[in-house]
Amino acid sequence: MHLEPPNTRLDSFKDFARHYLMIVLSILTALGLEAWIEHAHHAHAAATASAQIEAEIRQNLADIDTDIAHDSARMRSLEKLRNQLETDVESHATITVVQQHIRQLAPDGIDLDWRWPVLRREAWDVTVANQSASWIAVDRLRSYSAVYAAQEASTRLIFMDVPSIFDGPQMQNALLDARTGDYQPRELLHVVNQMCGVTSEATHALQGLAQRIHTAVPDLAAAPGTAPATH
Amino acid sequence: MHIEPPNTRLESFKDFAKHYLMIVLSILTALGLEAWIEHAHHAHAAATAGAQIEAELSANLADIRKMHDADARRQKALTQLDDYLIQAVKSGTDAATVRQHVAALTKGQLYLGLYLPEMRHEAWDVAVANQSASWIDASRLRRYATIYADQDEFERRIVFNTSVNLQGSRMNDVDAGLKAGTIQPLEMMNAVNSMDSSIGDTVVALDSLERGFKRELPDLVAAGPASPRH
Repeated sequence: MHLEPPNTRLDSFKDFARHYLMIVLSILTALGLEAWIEHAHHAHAAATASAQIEAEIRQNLADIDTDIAHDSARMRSLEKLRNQLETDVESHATITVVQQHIRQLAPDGIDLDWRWPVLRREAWDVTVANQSASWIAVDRLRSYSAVYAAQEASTRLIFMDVPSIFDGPQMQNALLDARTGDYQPRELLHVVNQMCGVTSEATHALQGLAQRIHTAVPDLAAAPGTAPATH
Repeated sequence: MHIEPPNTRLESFKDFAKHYLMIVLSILTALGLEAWIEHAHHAHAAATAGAQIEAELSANLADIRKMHDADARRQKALTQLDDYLIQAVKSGTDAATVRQHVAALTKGQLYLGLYLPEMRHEAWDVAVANQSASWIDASRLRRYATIYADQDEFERRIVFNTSVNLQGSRMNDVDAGLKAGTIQPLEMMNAVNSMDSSIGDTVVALDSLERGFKRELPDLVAAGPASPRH
């Protein structure tokens, strides 16, 4: 048997350079292919995350619009009642007259019924949790972050603001007194004025929030034909 | 027998291409094997994180149901008491009779407080912190995130509602005043009405939270909740 061993020796610099080049190119090719596959996965993850975030922002904008319409209608209705009560208090109207005016302006009873939407953020939470945020273009990510920060700040501010301008127990007591028929119009005026304040604050805060969202993501509009906001 | 081994010298472009292809395929095979092992680890980490999140949510749900039932029972008693107090104030019933009736209705224990569930979230925090959340199925992860966001929103709104609507320390005064026989019907009516309204809001909010669990994780709800923590 005659066995001829392979010639594995690198006899010249040229041989060495050829092998060296081949191995470097091979490894770069393999790594490049792997990076390309990874990039495709990341691009897909980023596109999915962006689509979910944008759908969530559109839904939030729709809920904000619904509640702006509701709160501003409540504000106008309560302002009418407040203005009438002011006139009645100034003219020292009798309780019977005040009651009559209340029945005219609030036939279903005096009710605050202000609304603040539940501003969803789970699409953002998922994007951060599964790291797909890393693959979204940084400018776009900053815009999304600005939207969620504005949502959070507005909600925190309104929940801090309302207790400072509105006395819930005072309202409950005054409305309960009105049910028992034993109340002072001046006290009721103060309560209705506070209620106007809450609806006014909520309306303006929601308008400000919608404006901030539109500035951060001008290409996104409210989702059409959405159901009323949940509370 | 004559065996001629391959010539490993790169004497032509064909030689070069053969070696090149072989090394690329070898490295890709190695990377693929590594990715497969990584994937197995990730799948295991995701399964562990998912199981821990579901156990946590199941315990939260049990607590929510328990507190909902307790609040609903209290609301029923308070509404009955509230209706009586409104009638008593309207008809000018004397304070001693009202106190006696209230003491009988409440069996001497007028507890004015909310039952609130303890809603934990550390399993979620861990899944995000150790990145195992990345390997959980996307739609499942979205459902978990929705439930945790609902929990946060519930807590935020309950804190807000109680800070705005609840008469705070006056609730304790009512209980003490009832025991000491000094409280007036109007004062009691206002406090009970405030509490009744706050418990009503809480029961509605707990209902809504439980509906969220049913919508997002019907299999977890159907499996039956864990034992409540309290």
